[in-house]
Amino acid sequence: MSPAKKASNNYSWPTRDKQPGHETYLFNRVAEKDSHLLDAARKLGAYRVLEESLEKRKPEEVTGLVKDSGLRGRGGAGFPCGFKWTFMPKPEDPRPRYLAVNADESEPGTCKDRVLIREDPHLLIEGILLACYAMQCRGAYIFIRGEYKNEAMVLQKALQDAYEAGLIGKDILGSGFDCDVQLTRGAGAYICGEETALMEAIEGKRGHPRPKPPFPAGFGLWGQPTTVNNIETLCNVPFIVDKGPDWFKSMGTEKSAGNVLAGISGHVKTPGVFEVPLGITMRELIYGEAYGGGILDDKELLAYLPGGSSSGFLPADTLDTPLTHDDLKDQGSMLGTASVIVLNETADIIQATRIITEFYMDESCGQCSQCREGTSWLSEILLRLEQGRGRADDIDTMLDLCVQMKGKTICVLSDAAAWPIELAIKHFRPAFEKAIASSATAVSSTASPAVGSTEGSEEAVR
Amino acid sequence: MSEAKEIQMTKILVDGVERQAPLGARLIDYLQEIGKVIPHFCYHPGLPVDASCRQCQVESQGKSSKPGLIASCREMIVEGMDILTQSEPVDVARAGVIEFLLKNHPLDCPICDKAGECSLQDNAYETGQDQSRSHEERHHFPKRKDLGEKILLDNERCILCRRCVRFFDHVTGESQLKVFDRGDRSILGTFFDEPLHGNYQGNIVDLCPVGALTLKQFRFKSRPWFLHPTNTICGSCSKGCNTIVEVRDDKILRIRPRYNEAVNGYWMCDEGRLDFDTFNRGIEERRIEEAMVLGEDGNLQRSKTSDAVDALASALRSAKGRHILLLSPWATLEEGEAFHRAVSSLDQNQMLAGFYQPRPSGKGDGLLRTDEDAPNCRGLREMGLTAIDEASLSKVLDENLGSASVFLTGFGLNRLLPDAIKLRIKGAGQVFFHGFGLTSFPFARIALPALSPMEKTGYWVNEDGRKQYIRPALRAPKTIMEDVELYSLLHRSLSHQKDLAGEGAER
Repeated sequence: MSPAKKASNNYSWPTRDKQPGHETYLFNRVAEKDSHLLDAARKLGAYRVLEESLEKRKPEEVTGLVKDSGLRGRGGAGFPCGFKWTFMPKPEDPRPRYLAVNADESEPGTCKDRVLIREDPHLLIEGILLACYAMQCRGAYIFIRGEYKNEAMVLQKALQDAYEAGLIGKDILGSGFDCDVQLTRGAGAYICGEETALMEAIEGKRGHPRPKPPFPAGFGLWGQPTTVNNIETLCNVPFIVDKGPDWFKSMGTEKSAGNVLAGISGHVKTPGVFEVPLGITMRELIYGEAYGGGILDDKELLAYLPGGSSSGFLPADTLDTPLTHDDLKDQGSMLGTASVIVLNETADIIQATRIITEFYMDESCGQCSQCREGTSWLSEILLRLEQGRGRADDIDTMLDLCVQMKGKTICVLSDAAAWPIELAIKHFRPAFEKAIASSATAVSSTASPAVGSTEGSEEAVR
Repeated sequence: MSEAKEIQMTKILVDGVERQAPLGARLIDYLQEIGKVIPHFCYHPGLPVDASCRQCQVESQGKSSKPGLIASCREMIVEGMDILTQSEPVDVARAGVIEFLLKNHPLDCPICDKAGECSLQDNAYETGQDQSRSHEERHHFPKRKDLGEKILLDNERCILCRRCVRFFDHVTGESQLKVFDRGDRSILGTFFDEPLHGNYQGNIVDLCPVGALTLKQFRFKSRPWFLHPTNTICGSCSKGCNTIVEVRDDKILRIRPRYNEAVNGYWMCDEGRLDFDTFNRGIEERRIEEAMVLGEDGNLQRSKTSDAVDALASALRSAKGRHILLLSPWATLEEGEAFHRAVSSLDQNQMLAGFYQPRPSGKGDGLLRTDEDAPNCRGLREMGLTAIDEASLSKVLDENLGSASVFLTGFGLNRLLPDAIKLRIKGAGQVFFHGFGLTSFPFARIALPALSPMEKTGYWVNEDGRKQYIRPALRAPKTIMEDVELYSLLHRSLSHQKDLAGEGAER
């Protein structure tokens, strides 16, 4: 039975009633009835791997399995997960260590973790406990975005049930392993999904990214060693520990192993979240019957974002790019959260870029000069272009601002705001040039006003 | 550096030159120490690092936290560093930050108090951007926002370096300012728009790299380049904060703290900073500028200082009752010495001589302000002068009501002596006054002018036993004799009269 038809749940979107032609694991339980409740989930095999691991496997073995599997983080950066775990200090280090779970899924277009939290929270808790066991963490903090109210309630209930069943807390399942899991809700800021801002937010402070180094593995939550992992990454862990790295590597590609939850939205016939093996082409993902189902109204594809808003628009001629970290990087984009947003020919690329930039302008935390001023400047230029008030030097100015904003700030929000603009200009330059050419006020760059005046000279007179 | 901590040196390259640098030291500090110019806004050595302005970036080619551009305020020196402080990426990045900061800056330098000592202005000149590429309307924020009695905030000028925020968070420990909202709407303010409070607000004005926070007292008073600075010591309490007194046209316009790691660090309290009107002649107290002696008509009449001192000596010599000779604790060590010598020729049995020891004011806050309202009590005490406190003074005055001769000397007694004592002094036999203003003692028989601490040189010893030199920031009126000179004159005059008296007895 597919989740779309589950009577107990009103939140059926975005999983769909279609059978993919490949092995799935992440969404297997999601489709079952009452999968979010402890009893039902345990009947379906939840916590079996944890039980076995606490009994049979040493922490290092669990880390080893995850490392060997080549699992890469699903939160956007694609950093090898097992490798990240090994950054934690040696077991002799007396400091307490923590796991921070990033459920602040705020990237526009992304809603994959939401499905997992809502439909299979016990898979997440099992993954968290396995990760804590592997790294010998005393506790885990889940930071869930403020807008996910229902998900937070489901997860809170699941945590409570698991506590009562002795699955979390002191002496888990009689193994002597202690681990607490706490849920923290955000207050609606995209920046709190950045790992250091997330830790600040969990600590109860304002979510401002911390400068790195020190990295979280050395100085994280409350100054203690911390690892930050994404929900989907952790949900992969029980399966890897259970079935082994070789099974995991049999899916996906060599460098990007496993399945990924791809969310497809925008101008497609069947939007939703789908479990797909990495390496599938973008064409298949967007046009495949089991996935996106083709462009809405059978129009032409104009552009698509392969992995969330910051991955930037790619044109139709890149549709044969496989959905992997490296292939998309070669295109100048990134896999990110594998959340595809599709635009058909009716869309305006300048408007779409402006909307994305305005999102970053709104969400910039305001610490670094480049990001604070750059994001608003860029969206002001884009708005002018969209409204037909472009200037001849606008493209050059935007590209130069993007250069100024990349790699110079505390966190990567500034970079993330610059990438989509650079890619849009790279692939859709004619559209920008057309907008400038048709602008009534287009003037050459030599007529720019002096620093002292607030606006152009004609306005200054007024 | 007083601490003998072993500093390990390591080899690093700076602009291609090999240098021995202290391992683990902050990179920006080291680079500035060796004379490199590293522009910065948010970094301040007295505050925790924020690394948000991104102006201090340098290029790293060797070992560092990451390759390429690094924020030198965040970076600690490690072995194998290879730093370029001037390169194309560095220049581009710095110019970029300035361009971003200027994009919405009001550029009201012509009417801004900070112009001339503004980091943003200096760095903008440095990067040479006389044209803006922005065609957008500047963002507008509140100007002239009142932050209480002492400070005004201009949000448009603010570049959000958050030095002031960190000052309250980490130095005074009581958060008062915060940046509200986010992104380009970020705006500095206080919680619930409440006014700032506390005795250390002035420091945020010094910290502000632009003209966003201005001192009401200094607003529109002077361009900073017209100010004549003097390095001296604050006398408001026994902490002895190191200060820079800035003077224009013989008027103090501003006092700022001067860095001294062992005393006040980078800070000073508002009391010492703002309370300088007294020293600007004739503002608070009616200053005595010439010596005056009680004439036959019952009024004080101008006199030559040496004549007045002679008159004082003979009055002291001939007076029968108890002598009370009270030195101000604002006196320098040199003045204490001279005073001691002068009074030692009087009859010790009927004399109470020493410096006034003010009672603890209760203003001490554990940060900088101490409980002692005068700068040199410890120095005078250690020199051997008797500390006369309120209780013993009032006892002696009560016992010798109507017969005592009181000589009050030195700047500061007017403000230090409590009213009860002043009243008792009025009841004494005769009062001689040597000080700054006559306000409290119009009944004095002889009034002699004294120098203010802003006009003299000498040593003060602070609460912790640190001997510090004070320098004159203001020129004293020519009619005023230096205190030390006056005491030696008094000494000579007293000794001479003693000799005369001795000769007379022999005869």
